[in-house]
Amino acid sequence: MTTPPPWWDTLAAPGAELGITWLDPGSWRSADDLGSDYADSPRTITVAERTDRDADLRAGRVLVGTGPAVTTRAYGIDQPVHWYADGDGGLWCSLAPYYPAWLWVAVDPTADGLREVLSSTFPRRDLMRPDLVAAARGFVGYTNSVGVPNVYDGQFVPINGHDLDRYFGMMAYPMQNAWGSVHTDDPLRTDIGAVKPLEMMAATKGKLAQRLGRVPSMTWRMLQSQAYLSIEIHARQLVCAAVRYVPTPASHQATVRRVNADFETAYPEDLPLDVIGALTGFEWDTERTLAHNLGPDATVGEVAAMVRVLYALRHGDLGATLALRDYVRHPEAAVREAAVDTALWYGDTFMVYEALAAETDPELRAQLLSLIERGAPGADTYNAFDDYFSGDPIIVDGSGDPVEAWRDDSDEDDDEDEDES
Amino acid sequence: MTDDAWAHERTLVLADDARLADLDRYAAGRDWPRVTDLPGGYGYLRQVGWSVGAATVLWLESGRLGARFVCVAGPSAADVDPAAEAVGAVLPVVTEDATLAELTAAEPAESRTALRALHRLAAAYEIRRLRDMPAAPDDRYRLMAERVLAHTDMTVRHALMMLFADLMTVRPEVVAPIVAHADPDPGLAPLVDVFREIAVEKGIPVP
Repeated sequence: MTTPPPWWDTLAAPGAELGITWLDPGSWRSADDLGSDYADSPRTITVAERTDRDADLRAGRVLVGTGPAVTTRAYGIDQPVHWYADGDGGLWCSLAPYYPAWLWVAVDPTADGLREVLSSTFPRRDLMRPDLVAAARGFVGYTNSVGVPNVYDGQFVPINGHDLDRYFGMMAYPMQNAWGSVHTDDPLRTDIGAVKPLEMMAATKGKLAQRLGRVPSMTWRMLQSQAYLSIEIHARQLVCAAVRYVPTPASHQATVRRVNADFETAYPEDLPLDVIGALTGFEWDTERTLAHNLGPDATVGEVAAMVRVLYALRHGDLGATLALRDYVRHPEAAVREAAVDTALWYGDTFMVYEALAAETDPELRAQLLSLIERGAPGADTYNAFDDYFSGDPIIVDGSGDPVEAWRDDSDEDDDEDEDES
Repeated sequence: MTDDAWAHERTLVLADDARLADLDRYAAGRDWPRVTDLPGGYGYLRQVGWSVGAATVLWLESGRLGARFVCVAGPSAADVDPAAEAVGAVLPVVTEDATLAELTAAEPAESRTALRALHRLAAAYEIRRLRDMPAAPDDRYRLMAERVLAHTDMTVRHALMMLFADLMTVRPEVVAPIVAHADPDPGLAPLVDVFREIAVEKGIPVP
């Protein structure tokens, strides 16, 4: 394709104003043959279905423009927006060269359309947690089933902080350097250009620690949207992905609807595209996709497990958690126990009173009374990400003082671990 | 916030159907800047805050109490009252009067209702407890304690003693009826003794 589409001449001025460089039609390049100049890949887990879809969508599209760009933290590399035309007069926006085509956004080829599609990223300004007004959380799986690729050999290893940090550090979607729950906001500036690795190590020392009482988490800031993507481990075994973000423009939401339809996913429609890219290869289950676990055919064990997942998914929204109060009155003791255990892990001790008021089993009543009188068990000091920071604290309390973390990876089986929890 | 910024405080305890999004939308519509957003946790309140002139509006969630409340604080009543009235018009609130009425009614409330009411009262004074701020004397708390101690469900009586062991300096009216209480459940007698010891320790006059 070398014939300019009808809108071509009308976008020259607004494009220049927005930092877009339109390429001469003679140098347009096919989207499925960009060569080494654009060989960047997202470097995520490979999912065959998505790779195939990327290839299908690239066919017939050509790169017609680039820019504006975002500069990566620590490496100082510019990642320009890519603009593609298709053979049907359509214009597509890829927020960076490495975005697969299923994350491209269909653009209204007008000045307003260009501004709208770029508005989630440009003009650039630092966004901090109070600015990130939207929140979403998906259930990724259990710690004994969620794997992370080792960045050297690609083999999946059980989820742990070290490999997560290396994997997300290698991936293209996030900015460099994660932080633990000791920080509620990105502890590094977003405008750090290229820095020496040793300087970066010094700047990030201690940033991965966990704060006693908060859900253990590792958080990355996304490059284009500046959203915070956290991998959390709830109650020692439930892995969630939690996102704080600014809802995306309407044009991006159309892309997410298409992604959800094509890949049978359940991402919120206003979730930033770089978050969805970063989560490639991970599950994102929601209360809706897991609802069958509470259905009429669900076993008691499935319902009890689902209660734990519901607590995790609703964490941070006490109004939603309050709606789980009925589970402490559930006719099945296993479900009631799951509800109380989980509530206690989060420090929701009011649930114990509600459970006690409803409990008729003498043994369970005695346990609940004991829990109340001893006081709740206290915030968990489990080393959820199996971290080791060369002797630096893994968990600190509200004053910043180290708290002894523990982790028992001896040969106990899972049942014994559950009993201990 | 400085101490001066806490000179005046009003807490509004929210109904279960209150939505943060409603307050967020209202705040955005009036250009109240969102200045705080801290996650909750074990022993931590979730906090979302807006700056309203010299006052601060804080949406707070306590997992311990199972209650959500909004605290409006500022250097003067003139700073606090308009913002508190505005919040009360946007969000469904359970007033202290209504909660006390539930707990002092001639017909005792059902256990679950009584437990919610007790936790809501504790929420109403959570900020004053944390900041060691006194409250105006209110003899309805003495009656409330007497009525709750007569509740047939020991869970409710137990909750009263546990929750107000933390609040006795803010609401000392409950101390006399609790320390004078002879509970029919032998398991609760030690709790009364502990309550008395705490009161003595805190210098609260014990009959």
